[in-house]
Amino acid sequence: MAGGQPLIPPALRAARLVPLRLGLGLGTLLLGLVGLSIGVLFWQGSREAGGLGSLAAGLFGPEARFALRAALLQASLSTVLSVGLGLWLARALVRRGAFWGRRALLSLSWLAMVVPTSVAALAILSVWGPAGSGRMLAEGIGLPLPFEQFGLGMVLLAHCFFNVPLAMRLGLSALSSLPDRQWQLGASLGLSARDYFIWMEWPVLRLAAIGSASLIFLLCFTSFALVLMLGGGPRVTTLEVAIYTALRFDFDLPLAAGLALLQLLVCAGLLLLLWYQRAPLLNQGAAGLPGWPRRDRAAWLARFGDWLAIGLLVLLIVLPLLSLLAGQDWQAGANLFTRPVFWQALLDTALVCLPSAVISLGLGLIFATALVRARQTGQRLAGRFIGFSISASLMLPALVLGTALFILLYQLAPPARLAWGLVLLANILLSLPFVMRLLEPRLAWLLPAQDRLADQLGLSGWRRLRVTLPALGDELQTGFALAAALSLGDLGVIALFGSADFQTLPWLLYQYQNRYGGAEAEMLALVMLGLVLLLFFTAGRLTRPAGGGR
Amino acid sequence: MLNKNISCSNWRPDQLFCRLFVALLALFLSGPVLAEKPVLTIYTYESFVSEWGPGPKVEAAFEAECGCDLQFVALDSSLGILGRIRIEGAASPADLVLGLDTNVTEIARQTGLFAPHQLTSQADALPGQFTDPDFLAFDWGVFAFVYDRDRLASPPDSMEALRRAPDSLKIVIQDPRTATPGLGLLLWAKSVYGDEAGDFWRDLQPKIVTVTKGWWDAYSLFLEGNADMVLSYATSPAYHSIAEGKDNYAAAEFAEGHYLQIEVAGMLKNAPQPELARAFLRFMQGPVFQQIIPTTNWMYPVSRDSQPDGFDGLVMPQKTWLFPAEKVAAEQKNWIAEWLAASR
Repeated sequence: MAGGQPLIPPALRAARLVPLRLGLGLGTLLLGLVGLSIGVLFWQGSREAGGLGSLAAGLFGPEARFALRAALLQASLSTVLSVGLGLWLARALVRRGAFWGRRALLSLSWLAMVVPTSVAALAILSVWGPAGSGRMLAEGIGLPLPFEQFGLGMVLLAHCFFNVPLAMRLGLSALSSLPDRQWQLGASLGLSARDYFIWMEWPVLRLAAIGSASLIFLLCFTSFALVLMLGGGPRVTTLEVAIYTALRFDFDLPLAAGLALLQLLVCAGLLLLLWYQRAPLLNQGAAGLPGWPRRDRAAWLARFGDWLAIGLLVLLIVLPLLSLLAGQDWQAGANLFTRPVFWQALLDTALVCLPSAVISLGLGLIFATALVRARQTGQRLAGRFIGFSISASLMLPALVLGTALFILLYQLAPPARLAWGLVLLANILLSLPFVMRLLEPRLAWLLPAQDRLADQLGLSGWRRLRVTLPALGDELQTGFALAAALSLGDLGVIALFGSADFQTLPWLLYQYQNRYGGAEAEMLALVMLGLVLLLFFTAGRLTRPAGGGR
Repeated sequence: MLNKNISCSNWRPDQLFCRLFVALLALFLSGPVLAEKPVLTIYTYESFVSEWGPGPKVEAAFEAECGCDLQFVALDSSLGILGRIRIEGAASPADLVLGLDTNVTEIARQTGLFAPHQLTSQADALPGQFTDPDFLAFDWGVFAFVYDRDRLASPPDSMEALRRAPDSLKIVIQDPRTATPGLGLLLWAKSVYGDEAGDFWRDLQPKIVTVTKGWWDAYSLFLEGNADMVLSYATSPAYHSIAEGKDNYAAAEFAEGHYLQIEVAGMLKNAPQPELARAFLRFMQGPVFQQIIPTTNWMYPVSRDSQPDGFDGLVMPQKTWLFPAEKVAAEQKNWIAEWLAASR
């Protein structure tokens, strides 16, 4: 597969390298932004005394070391659990094929990925917390739960809530890249479950595992409010907590710069380790559930395993989400809709979400294409550089980025004018890694498959794009919905500006949550979830079987 | 040039045409119609400005008498306010900062950005004296553990009783590095136990279900039944009784006394409108502002004449603690380290 590249006519080869160069340029820009942010914090703070000492304390201090150890343990466990369960689920969902409730389950799994963290934490606690229905039930029938009420176990559970659906999605997308021919062959050979796994599923799932593990590790390693809320105390912590403390409580900018640098270095090191393992993605295949009956479906062990995984997903995601509905005080919550500030925030959110989604998709397309071209032309280093630069934005706390850019720009423009631009930027940086991972697997087989035809017809540049884009329809729609949903739920950097003329729904939720009487906060959270569902619905995901379509 | 007070002066993509229109309008209209009102800019925390907070009422009342345009900039917390002016430094467009508390006044003063207010404090309802050349108080409260009478019949009546309570008593508190009440408890424990505060924290550990980032996280955990008591304010039950008609929430009074929080405002040295800023500080201590505070910010007013009705049944501690601001500024890093060591 990797060796069988079609020969590319020299004229077109140059055109094909345009996205790669563009990707390299944009990647440099992203990394530059990360470096700039850390540099600005250090430079600004070092004008006061003790800058270098603080920077060193951030890199090597005892608090940094403690937070690093705690975060490494937590993030590694979260990653192993999320990826393991997620891929097991992807396999189960493919093997079970269509069943009642499959679509609903897949739609809800999107929802779980983008719920605001404070809302998710309460939802999870309402099921598994000290007074939670799930915990009561389990204790009632004498079933001990493997995690405490608060502590590391609860943090892992919450991280699974967010990330199992993500790993599952990436796993489903990987399995759907297997060509129909292979399923047909598998069926005619009468493969056993073990054979299916070794010869067909694992080679693609392995790639999904590496891709999702790197993303999930970053998300869990940099987790903040969730870790504090569910961790039971400062034993469970992350570098992100230390960075927030340095920036806000101590106002020690070089310390924050040092801690951010440490976070960046550790994440970068782990990513490089993972990439060393990385094999080229399969560059062929077609979408869809296998249309060929699998003989291993009927085995009782397979059945048991599949339904166990699906049952766990229901316990993990569906139960907490449903509990949000159950705990709602509808009458008091309805007040929300009488408030003008809600409607203003809704409009302002749309003004961030929609451009953010469009730009993320555009950038994601460039980066994904660049990655595929880098792999085709054997430029491994270029590919790794691009992949790394996209993830780098996840390693940089939004507060660091926002503060640094604020320091740089506040003298050039009034904060109220900056707010929109910087919130947009933070949202794009957040969505980009997700969108890129969504587009890349499909492009990885689509581009090479179309290359020969494009060469024969002499298509290149924009005209080539007009052929490629329609074939990416599903991914583009989902990517748009995902990017918009992520910005819908993310507080980002807006808290730095405090402009009354620019409010977003997450910022409004933060405000509602800082007062007595939570009915409107809960209603707002439900509205936000509703909007997310609407986004995915209009993106066509609810009207078709998700996970690759048929 | 372009009038800053016209409503669409803040840039958003949908307002590009609005701005063009305003610019044209400004060209055609003569000066008197668009006479600029002076703008008073106040940095505060967001819950002060929200619809249900004191902000809108305060703004309307002050604008009625000052002939100015009062503009609030709402940051996420009092530490957010401080961080913002430290970044902007002498170039800050803010006239006033409202919503710092006595734990950070010294740190704020050390920035050299504040100016003496040159006013006499009118605060006569504080439990003790508070005078500060740079800052004036506008409300106060005491930290307390809040519980539900229906769930907890006999709460501990002292800090020591809380420390010695069976481990089945579960409390939820906030992180002193991220939340004001969390820092309040740290200072409270330090006041009561001094050098033995570390031991107190070690004894308290098994009872702490979790340590949250913000006040709301902890408070909602408590309301949802995840803990028996929550660290909050002695005034919290007033919200439940006045706004919700629920009388089952109460604050436990502790025999050792309670730690005080005094919220203050101060004007900046480079305030573009120093006279307006001073007028606001005077207004802030007056009856109109003071009567708005209790049922919007759920804190005690600093003026004795403005005591609200539904606050009678609240815990009013005999003794209150308050470290000098200089002490907090000098020691808080060490005290945080002590708390961290005891909590891990």
